[in-house]
Amino acid sequence: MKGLWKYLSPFAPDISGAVEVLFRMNGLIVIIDAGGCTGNVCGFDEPRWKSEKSAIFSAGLRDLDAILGRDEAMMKKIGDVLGVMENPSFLALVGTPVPSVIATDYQALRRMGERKFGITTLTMQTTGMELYDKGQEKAYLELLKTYLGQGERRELQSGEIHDPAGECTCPENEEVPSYMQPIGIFGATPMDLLDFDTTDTIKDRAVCCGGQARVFGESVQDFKEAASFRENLVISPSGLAAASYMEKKYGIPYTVRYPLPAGFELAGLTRDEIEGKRILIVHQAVAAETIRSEMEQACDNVRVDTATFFMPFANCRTLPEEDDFIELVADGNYDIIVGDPMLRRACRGWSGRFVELPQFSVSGVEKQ
Amino acid sequence: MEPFYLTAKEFAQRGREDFPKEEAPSHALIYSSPATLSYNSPGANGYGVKRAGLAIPESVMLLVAPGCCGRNSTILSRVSGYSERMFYLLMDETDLVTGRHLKKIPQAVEEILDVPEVRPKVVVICITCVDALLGTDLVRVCKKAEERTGVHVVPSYMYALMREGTKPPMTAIRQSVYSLLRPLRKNPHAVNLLGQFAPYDDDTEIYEMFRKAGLTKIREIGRMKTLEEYMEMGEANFNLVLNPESRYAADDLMQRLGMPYIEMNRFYDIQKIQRQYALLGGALGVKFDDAAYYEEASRALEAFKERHPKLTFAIGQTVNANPFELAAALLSYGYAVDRVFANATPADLPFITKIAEMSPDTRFYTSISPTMMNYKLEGEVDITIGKDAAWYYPEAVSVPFFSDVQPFGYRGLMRLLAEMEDALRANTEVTS
Repeated sequence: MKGLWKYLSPFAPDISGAVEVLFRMNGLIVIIDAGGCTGNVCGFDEPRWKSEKSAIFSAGLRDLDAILGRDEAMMKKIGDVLGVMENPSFLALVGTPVPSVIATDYQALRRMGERKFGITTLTMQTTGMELYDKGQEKAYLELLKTYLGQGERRELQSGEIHDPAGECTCPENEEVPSYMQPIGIFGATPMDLLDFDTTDTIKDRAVCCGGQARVFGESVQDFKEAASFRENLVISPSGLAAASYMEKKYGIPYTVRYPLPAGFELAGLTRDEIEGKRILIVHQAVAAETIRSEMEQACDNVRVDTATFFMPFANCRTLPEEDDFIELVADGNYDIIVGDPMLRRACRGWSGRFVELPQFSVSGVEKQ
Repeated sequence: MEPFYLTAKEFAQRGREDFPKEEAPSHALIYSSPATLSYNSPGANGYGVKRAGLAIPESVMLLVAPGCCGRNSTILSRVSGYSERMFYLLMDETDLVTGRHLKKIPQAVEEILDVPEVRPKVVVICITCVDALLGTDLVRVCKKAEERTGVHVVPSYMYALMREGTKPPMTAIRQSVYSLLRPLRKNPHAVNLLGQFAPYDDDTEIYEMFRKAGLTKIREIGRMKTLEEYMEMGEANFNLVLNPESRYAADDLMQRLGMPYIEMNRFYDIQKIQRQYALLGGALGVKFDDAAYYEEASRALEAFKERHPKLTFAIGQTVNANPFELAAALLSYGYAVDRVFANATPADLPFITKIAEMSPDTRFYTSISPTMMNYKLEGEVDITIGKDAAWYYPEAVSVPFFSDVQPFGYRGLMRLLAEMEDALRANTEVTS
């Protein structure tokens, strides 16, 4: 039955994806809910919450607030919090199922926020019914459209290339070499990364021949300067729409690949182990496709399929429902399945080898 | 800006008439700091609505909701071992507009019954905020599912939007889990303990004292292994309510089954424990012989005080206790309580007044206040009770005192003392 999940449990929703993109950018993030959605985001989907500070709040809606559409009351609460924050970069209003039911006018909320508080106000029309990557996609586009304005592409000038801490890394009055123009990275949040990766390690591997890498989601400044980046790297499908937008509007090219760490090209398996095997990789589509490509290069006679419960990319098959995965496993005659440990439960009756490749957006396995 | 707090003296002076609005979660945006996550969500750690609904033996749950409402179950159900009893019917935006998800429920119930190795006897359907706003009549839907499948189908509600209403989620779920009970012939020797979803500690004196008083059938939902056993709770002569959140369920049982109830509170003040047993005995027309338990707990308390004559505490909300009562008890034992991190209700005022008399400068913070974002560690405490308090004082000795199986009475006090002793001893061993 469509929508019925009997073996697997819900994956990270769009609300969590949007908040992950916003998490490090010193904004006031207000989730328009009664408290439960925020509890899920902070308690289960955002591994950085316990070690890093971010101003994430629940609107604390109650039934009458929703029924009567008391936006003014919510704005008053927001004003109180803005009063205790030191120079927040923006106000972000993140949607949940409740605003979906009552058809909240996000445009009106944005105008109220900007007029009342004079602060850049972003609205994320997330519903809690889509998955994390959709929320990230919305967040990236909202940030780009808000901060880029209508400017044309230009190269950053000397003195304008900053590291995330705001320190200038290129001397003034010197010509900036093209390789110093930064590379932007979309789709590098804890949800998208392989279990052992961090944004820092991704940045290191993304720029192997000098220059800077900026992970979108670490600073508002990066979105303001995005039109000047030399290239974008997309490591998860959640960044595809944003990269495509930047290409169409500013002519910035992008590539799609997951820069895998050495020794992990074959998902931790050896060449002998995959030789002649039929393999299914289930993960976010870019990571899955990158590993597939590495496996096929390593062995002539390996047959690899990729599948994802999230946004598709290239040949990666989409699995909208749990039943689609069960069917794929039953019909695929696979020797090896590579995927999140939670997927084992839906592999009943299949007797091949299961290789664990944790995916935070699936099982929420705590990173080590 | 300094985090919002009131001293005990200020709080007591304001009283019920000027009860601080900052204590109500809906007054301001809610700050879900890591300290608050264990209680500040209807589906958080311990027994949230979903896990609580599964307290009915031989049951499974079908959560009918947007995916985000079930996300925490992904992790919690695995950790707490109930993942094989959870099923999900995920809603999309068309469902919100048309309500078609409700028509799918009977078939979904039929399908999930075939999944577990042993066929469940009960399916608990849980709906969330969106259905609260849609005005869904879940009782009617459950009846249809029951007719189609022949198993009990129980409605339950995880309405976070109604946290401060007359029937908040944890109150509503307590009513749901007893809703299958049917009237049986009254057994004068039977009593139900209504309070938590897991049992009370095996060594809690209440069991032995009740048996001696002729109450030989003491039942609680956390000990019922089969649906048949659970149904026997319908023969109770009365219910003993050990948690105020069960009052609504007790009212419902009184109305439906003619089952009266008496309330008891969980105290850590030994004098209050003794007085409460005397009052309960008076109400039931029996005399509880609690002298031996009182003596045993008194000796344990004196021994602890001798070993640790001077301690300063910080107390949180994630504890098997009312934090304000616990603070008052510790002060009455001669200890200092520097900070309490908890949301007070008017029902806590008697304890706050008592704290104000003994320690007027004790500070009460509400952890979910937005101002807590600016909380900076200041002052020192020796020991924290509750893992939320431990988050504020990472250097202090930490006693989580938060478990599924519940402490109560004299033995509850002794368990607290034992856990504090263990933590203090472990700390001494590490530092020496």
